[in-house]
Amino acid sequence: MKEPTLRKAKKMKNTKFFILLLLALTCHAAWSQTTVTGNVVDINGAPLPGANILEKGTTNGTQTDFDGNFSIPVAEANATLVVSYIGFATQEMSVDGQASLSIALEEDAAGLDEVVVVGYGSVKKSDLTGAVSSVKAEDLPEGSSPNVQSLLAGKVAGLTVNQNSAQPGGGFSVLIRGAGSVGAGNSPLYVIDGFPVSEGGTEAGGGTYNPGNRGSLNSLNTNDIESIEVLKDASATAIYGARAANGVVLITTKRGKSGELNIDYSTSYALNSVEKDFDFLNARELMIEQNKNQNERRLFNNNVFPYGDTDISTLDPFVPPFTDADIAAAGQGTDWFDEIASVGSIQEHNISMSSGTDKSKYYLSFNYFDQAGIVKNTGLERYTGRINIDQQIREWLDFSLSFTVSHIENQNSQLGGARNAQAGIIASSYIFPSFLPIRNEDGDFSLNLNQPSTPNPVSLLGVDDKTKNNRILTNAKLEAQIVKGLRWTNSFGLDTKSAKRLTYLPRTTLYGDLANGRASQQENRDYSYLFESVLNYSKTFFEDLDLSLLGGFSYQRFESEYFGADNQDFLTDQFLYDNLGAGVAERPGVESARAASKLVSYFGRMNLNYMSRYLLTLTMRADGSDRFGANNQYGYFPSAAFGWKINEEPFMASQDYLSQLKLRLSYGQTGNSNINSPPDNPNLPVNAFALYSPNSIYAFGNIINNGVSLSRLANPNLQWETTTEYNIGLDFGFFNNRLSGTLEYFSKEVGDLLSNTSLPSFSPVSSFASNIGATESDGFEAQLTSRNFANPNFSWTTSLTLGRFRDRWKERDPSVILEVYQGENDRLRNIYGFLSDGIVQIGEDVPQLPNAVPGDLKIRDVNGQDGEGNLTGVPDGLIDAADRVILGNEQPDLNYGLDNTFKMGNFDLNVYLYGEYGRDLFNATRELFTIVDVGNALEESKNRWGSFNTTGTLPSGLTAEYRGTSDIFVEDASFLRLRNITLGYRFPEIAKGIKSMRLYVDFQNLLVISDYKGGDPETDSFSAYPFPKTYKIGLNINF
Amino acid sequence: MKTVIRLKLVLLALAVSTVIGSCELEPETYGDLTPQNFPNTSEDFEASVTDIYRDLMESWAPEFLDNSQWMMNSLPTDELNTAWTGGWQSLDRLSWTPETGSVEGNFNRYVRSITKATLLIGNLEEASIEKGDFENRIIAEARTLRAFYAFNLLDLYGPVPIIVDYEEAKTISAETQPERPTQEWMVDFITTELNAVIPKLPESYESKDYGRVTKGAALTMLMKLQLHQKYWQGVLDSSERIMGLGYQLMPTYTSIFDIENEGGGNTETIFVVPKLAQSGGLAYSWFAACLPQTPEYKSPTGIKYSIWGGLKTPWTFYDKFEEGTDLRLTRLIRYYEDIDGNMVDFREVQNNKAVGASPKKYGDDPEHNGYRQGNDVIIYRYADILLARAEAINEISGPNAEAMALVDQIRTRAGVSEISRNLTQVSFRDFILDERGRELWCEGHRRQDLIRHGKFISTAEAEGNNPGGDYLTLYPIPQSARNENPKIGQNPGY
Repeated sequence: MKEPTLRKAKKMKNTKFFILLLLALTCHAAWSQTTVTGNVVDINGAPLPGANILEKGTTNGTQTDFDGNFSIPVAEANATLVVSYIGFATQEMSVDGQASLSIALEEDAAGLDEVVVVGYGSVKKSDLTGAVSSVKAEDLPEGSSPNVQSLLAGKVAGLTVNQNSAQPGGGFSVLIRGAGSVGAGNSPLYVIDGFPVSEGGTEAGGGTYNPGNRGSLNSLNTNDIESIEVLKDASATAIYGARAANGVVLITTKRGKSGELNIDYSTSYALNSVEKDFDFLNARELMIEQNKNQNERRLFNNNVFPYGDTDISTLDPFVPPFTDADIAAAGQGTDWFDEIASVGSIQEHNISMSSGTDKSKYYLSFNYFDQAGIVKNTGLERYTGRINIDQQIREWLDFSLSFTVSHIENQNSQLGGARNAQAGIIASSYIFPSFLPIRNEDGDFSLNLNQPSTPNPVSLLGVDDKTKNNRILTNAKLEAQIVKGLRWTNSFGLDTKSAKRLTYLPRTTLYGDLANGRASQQENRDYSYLFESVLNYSKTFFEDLDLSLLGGFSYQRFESEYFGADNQDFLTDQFLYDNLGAGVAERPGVESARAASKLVSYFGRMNLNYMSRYLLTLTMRADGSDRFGANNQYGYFPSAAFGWKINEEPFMASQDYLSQLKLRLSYGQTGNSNINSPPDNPNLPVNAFALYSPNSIYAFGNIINNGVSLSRLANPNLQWETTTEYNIGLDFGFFNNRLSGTLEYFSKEVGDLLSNTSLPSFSPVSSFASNIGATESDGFEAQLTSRNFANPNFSWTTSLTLGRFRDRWKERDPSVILEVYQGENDRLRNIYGFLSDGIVQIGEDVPQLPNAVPGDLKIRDVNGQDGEGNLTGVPDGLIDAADRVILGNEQPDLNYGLDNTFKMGNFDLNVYLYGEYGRDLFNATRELFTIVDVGNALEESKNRWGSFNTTGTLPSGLTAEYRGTSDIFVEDASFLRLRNITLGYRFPEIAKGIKSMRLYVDFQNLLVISDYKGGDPETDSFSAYPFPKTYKIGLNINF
Repeated sequence: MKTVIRLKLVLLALAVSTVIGSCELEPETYGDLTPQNFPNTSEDFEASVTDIYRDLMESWAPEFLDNSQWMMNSLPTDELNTAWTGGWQSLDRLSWTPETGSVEGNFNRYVRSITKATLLIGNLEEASIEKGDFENRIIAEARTLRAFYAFNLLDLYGPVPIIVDYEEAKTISAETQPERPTQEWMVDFITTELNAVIPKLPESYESKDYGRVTKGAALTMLMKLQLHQKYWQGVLDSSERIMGLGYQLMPTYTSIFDIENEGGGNTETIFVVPKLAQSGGLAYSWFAACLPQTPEYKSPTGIKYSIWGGLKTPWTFYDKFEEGTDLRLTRLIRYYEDIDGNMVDFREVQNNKAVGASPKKYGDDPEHNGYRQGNDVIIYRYADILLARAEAINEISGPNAEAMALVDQIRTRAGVSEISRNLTQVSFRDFILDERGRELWCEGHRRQDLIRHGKFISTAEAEGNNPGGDYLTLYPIPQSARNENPKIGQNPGY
């Protein structure tokens, strides 16, 4: 009986509203207008350009110009204007018949009323209960990469961003709160305007040379970004369930606002330069050192003193590879790195425009980004376009579309890190000896006759290797208001990516020559289809209890296709990869593959807010995946969070130094469904089912026969890797938020690790996918912002982020026997090895190393083991596994970022640093190039021990014993990077029609402070594309 | 108006629930075989046997030789040395450990392949497929390979547990921890299996199946096992049976290894791993590993060879031949033309790579591509049978005329003089060992031969290595195998 009454009431309300609206519209059209002009400034009197002015109760609005002036026609003389500006408290002001208004906005309490995007919705920052960091577009530094990930290092506490190789468009490793998964990946989930996008699919195929990893977000124009929210704790992420275990990054793009047309044009030009990271021997020195080495090896091979007691007179006389005349004639020789490197450049043009009425709003943009890398013939050219439209169809029905399209042409660099055949251009430029000329007298590229399979670095510049990426990401939403407070949103989207790699190895290259020219085309296509249906309900009960409920369904299907073909034996190099059929190879290659998977999900959230003081958030998600066996298709991921706004309590009302204080507690579970491929079969599609592969070929009768082997066993019990996380957070602000910040502590356990159970060596496959073991992590984060000065003519703001995490084992796979030196609960990514104690000297007897020769590393005997494989703690006169110790850990103890922004008059200056402290790396470059053999060597190699240098402190390199497993090349890789210095100048109004104009210069990466020897401590291998320094000049104009 | 709104919403709701209802979680598989569709037919089982052969190639003659059984058989002996570091050195200098790559890799591959063969045999026997000649041959091939792998394990590691029972193979788990069997059990298993399959295997195949195990191959495996066990009477019986199968020495030494004689035309080869230059997975890289790098060897075919130059035959071994007379030195290269057209005496070249002659052994492949060559790798050939028979006769009856005549057949072809008739049993025994070295160099027999003659360790010492003792005649059980199964005891000495 109650129901009809309610409905009737609502009906009446609705009708009333409708009539009011109609009235308003008619009135607007019919009545005469007056115009109000005014000026918006901050409390210090500085003008605020671009502030929004809205006539209250209407959609009539405008924006202030460069000097903070505005002019708006209003319907009646006593209209009320709503003035808002980002970072300032919104103010309402009654016109009261005045023709001119002066409005001073007060700075918002650190943007407390800012709206923060969260999963499937948004919330006022002050009402957040989870650990969420928000970065607004204007806080991002200037970049030199098409990839937004490059801008986030040091910006968010708890987020670690590293670039391992800096080629144009190179990828980043992004970690949120550590890397607790050992096998299922630690990359966060990226959600762009509500569409969870998958990484990968940016590169096709392999080939002789590796183009390096590619940024998964290269196709996204960073200028389109409105804000980035990093969801860190389980309360914030659990709504994304099975993909949220590594955190979630929400990227929101700009949308149109109602108001007049706003056009932004920005352009920049940058030069990149790089210095060689390592100090290699010049030609003359290298010849001398190689002579020494040749003789030393001769003594060693023939057991002559100091390596044995054979009489040297029994040996043929030594003929050095380089004569004195050779050495005298040699000078500096070829600087191979210089030959392949050049000054790089980046130019970027971006235009965006937005406008809107109350019913239709749009944001359009176009971006052109063109980078020439610091290695010749490498680069990236990108075109992106975006259309974001919001259209009201009916009063109760809204449609919105986000559409972006991009095309990228990558000129790949050949980045293989191997030493011989697959050595890429950077690697070979280090390996190639300085005494070789670029070309021989006959005009052919030179080769090192002692390493004839290593390609000449300059010859690799002739390789034509492109990857073309296309991406369309589009998502349409239909949002209906069913009754007041109840909204229903249906969205459908498609993310389609393609990557086509085109490669031609001409005859001038080693491999091209062997194959008479080799061409290939390889293409990946990835499709991700998304359908979502979400119901939202919010209502206030008993005046001060706000309830909002959300329930939704999501279906996402992923499909990928691969096709590749290659041929060799070409008549000429002219065809490149454009005429594969012209090759006459006996067996041209052709391959294809296809895989698909699906995710079906149900989710819900409840938010309670009582008296604006007590906040409760509960979420739940159920994810079903067809990758898992019948027994565990669905995983369930709950979370709960509680927030207490202490400063809103009556007892806090009397004080005024503390402007904000909120305590947050949360608990929740999230998942990870990246099943591992078996280590010996990395290309298998990842699911929990048995599979036979037709890859065991054999040549009976010299004909290729396909053999079939069982490549995977089914595991019907396989389930999601589950992360359980607790978080405690404190948000605070002092002195009207002059000093504000957030502290977080988290503790999480990653259980049911997705891994591979090793099967005994005699089972038909070596392992099967399973859930084994657990790791745990804990850590803290601090984010502090201090507005040191806030005067109209001088302001200075400092932001500091600190983050620390520790990952360690909690429970190991019982079937894996730990090495004797490993502890049950060791940290992840430890570097284990032997301790060394200098060099074995002539005549020195090292009891624990009976076979040691002078010049070997003297390894310390620090421990022993009993028959059961337990450490005894007592040296046993033997060097074995028991003597290995923890030499370091690859993860930093602390990540930090420090950002200082100064504003003085029309000038602005930003100085931005970030770094990592307490992190160790094995320096493979020094390990390789402190040996003198037949290739290049570092200056430092002169310090190797030899009969010619018995005071040398580096091992001789004649034997490789313990070189790679001892402490000598494990180094502290802590670093501090001066990421940006940006100096800008805002022109006073220069021309009619130009609302604002800013010119800036920006210097990136000018300085890295680190004890790491040679190379950038952020890159981890000698074959990595080096980090350039960037010098940039840019102009932003707002029309 | 309100009704209209409601109606539209109801329609939308219906549409949405249809979509939701149609979202199933049925897995999709493309381009792979699953237990639902494999193996069903006899051809499916044949493809499974191909996979067992593949394991032989991966162990004996893979694309890159680092961890091959071939290198385990050659590098520790006097016929080969290397300048390469890492696992190569551990083999060359007898300094391997339970963690050495080749030690672990070949162990795992063979024990795994034995289980795969056991499953295949059992599955095919159980399958509702009518068993004709084809099916019986598949079973016989799988059993032969299984026996051969068991023999290889016995030779390298001593007796080790293997899964030859179908029921046991089906239920392997981490808890499966079999004990080491006795030497007798292992020898008996291999012998019984080979004897069972010999009558079922064909003497030869049509050319498209060249490379499969034949009656002759299985008999040779049996003979080699008997030789390994010094069961001399067995060697006599088996070699006689092999000699009845029509094998003949090729007219010249080099023609055995020439690519144009591959296939049925080679009367001497008994068991080979067929190889192809064009396909990475099927090629191998012997020339790249062994040809002289500085000054660079000039390919006689005009195809440019990738040369890494890490493997050489020491001059001390080279000196066992009569230089200038012995035709078997034709491809154990001391003199050659380099890419600049100069003649090189490699013995006079000082370099810091391995020192010695270049053991080219095989003929040039016209399809050679970079480092890839496609010469079939010979595992067993007829000369080995003759020499083994001579050795067995000498052990049973001393150096009689038959034994000498067998060795002379080999020597005559090599262009060297017949052997002295004044040899004692002991000196003939030593002579046979040397002759085996000269005939079978770098074919993967030397380790077995030296061990059988008790000279493996002393030869290594003479080479300047510092072995710790006789225990090195067996490789250690890999640490990984002992970790997963503590019941496998380590070989003594490790």
